[in-house]
Amino acid sequence: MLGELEDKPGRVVLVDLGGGVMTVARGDKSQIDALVVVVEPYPRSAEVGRRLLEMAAQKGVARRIVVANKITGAEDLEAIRMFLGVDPDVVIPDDASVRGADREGISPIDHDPRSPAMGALRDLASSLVA
Amino acid sequence: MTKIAVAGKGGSGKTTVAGVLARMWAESGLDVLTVDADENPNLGISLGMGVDRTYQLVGAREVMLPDGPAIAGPMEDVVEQFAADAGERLRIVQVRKFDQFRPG
Repeated sequence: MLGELEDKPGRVVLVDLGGGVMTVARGDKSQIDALVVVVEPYPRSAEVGRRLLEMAAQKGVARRIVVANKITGAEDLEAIRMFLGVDPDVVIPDDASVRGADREGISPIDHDPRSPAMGALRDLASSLVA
Repeated sequence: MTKIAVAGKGGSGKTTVAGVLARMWAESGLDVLTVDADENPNLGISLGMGVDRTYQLVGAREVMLPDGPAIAGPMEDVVEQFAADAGERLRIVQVRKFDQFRPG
């Protein structure tokens, strides 16, 4: 689908892929400019992340961004480095405001636009479309 | 035009990341089209549409395949038909309809 969209200046197309690796396995490298891989600091999440990164590399996706999510401290970051073999590009701290938004069924940016997690995502948003 | 995909294990927070990025880009003046291809579609909530509106979104796949009316034509027409407003300069196309009985 993405490959067939008209190239409109000023437009960003963002796809939330299904959980797991199959959607990337089926994809075509020409369809995306960047793949953002979100991982939590535990083995099953990191394993999915590792396979996603591997597949994206094989398919020639130019930018592969590793986002370490729900990070509580140095041990979490070290765990992700160990599982993936690379440093994450973006670190999103564990953030009570994001959990609060989940509970209330609202966007975290509406819950608290200045929370630590939103700050980290603002940096990512700028770097992806700069 | 920039095309970006967000992926990860279910529960990793990828939908939160996707929704917030889309909101930030729209607020910065970009025209943002989001596509929720997850089997448990929740992107609308992270975009700020609210739970009820998100769960009422039509699934483009269910309408187009296999028993729904076939849509022949450019992909832009499909987007125009299925994209719902999620805010200023922010739209969403949901691939599958939310199914409350589908295991998470």
